[in-house]
Amino acid sequence: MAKSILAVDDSASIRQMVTFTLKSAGYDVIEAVDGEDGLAKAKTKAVDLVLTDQNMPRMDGLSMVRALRRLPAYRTAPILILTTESGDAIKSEGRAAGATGWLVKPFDPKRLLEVVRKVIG
Amino acid sequence: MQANGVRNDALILGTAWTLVLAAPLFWFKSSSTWPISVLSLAAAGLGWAAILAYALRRERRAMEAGLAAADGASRAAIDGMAQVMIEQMQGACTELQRVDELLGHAIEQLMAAFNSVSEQARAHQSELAQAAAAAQGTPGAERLRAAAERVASDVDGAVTALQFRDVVGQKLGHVRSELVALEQAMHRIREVSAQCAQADLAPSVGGLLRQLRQTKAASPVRQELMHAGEVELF
Repeated sequence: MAKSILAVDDSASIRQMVTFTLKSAGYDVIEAVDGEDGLAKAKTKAVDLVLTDQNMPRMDGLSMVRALRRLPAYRTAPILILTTESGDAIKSEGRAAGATGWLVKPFDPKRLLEVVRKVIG
Repeated sequence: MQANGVRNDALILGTAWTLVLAAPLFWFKSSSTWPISVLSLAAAGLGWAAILAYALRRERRAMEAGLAAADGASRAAIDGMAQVMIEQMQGACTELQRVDELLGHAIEQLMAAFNSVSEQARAHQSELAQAAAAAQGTPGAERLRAAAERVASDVDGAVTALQFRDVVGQKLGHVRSELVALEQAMHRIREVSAQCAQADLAPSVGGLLRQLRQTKAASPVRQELMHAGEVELF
């Protein structure tokens, strides 16, 4: 059975690129448009990996990570941040919130798949 | 100029007053007793003192009027400059908005084209890979495998490049917020210029500019080219 990944990003084009890359590699992808939507979808169906943007309306990526980490199903599940931001301060904040890794946009599909395989197999 | 005129007036008045007093002094010279001379001298002195005090007061008023005019001109200049800058920044924000909309429109068209092309490319890549496997051991197998890899690499390159909308959008957002902060600072400078006492004007404007420098946020987006970004696992 294919592993499932929740892709959260307010940019339709990024969601499309992420979905295209992950589906081409055989993963099931669920899309969400912001942190609130992501949190709601993650509660509805437990996924193997969450891949989220940071800057989004309504709820940003790190707030969503903190909320997910409070749920038993996501206490140890891998959560990757995929964002344009690359400052040390925000990365430290991400680590403290419970993120598993930090990927800076634009992503290289090959590199993204390597990281995804590394964290969920 | 005005102060010089006041001094000349005072000099003329003082001289006239002295001459007026000198006449009776000479008249009473032969029969004068010392009190008349002393009184005349005292009257002359008092007259001079009164004229000088009057001249000084007029000079001070003239100076205050000059300073008030200069202060008003400075405030008007600050206000005018701030207004022009506000208009320029509002214009720049509007242009940024248009650029953002253009980018949004461009990416929609590009994504539609990519969807169609990428499916064909993946199918083509799959066919090439199958043909390479079937031709294993023949001279053409390596060529077919290289062609399949090239198609995959081109598709990956397109996926990376097409993320420009997000990166550019974030940068535009940062520039827009900087412009909005500058515009707010200009409004504040106008308020300070209109309300502040003259002595407080320069320190207050200086304080606002310092505050603006301190609150200037660095761009959260450091990308300068569309190369793939770094990856860090915690």
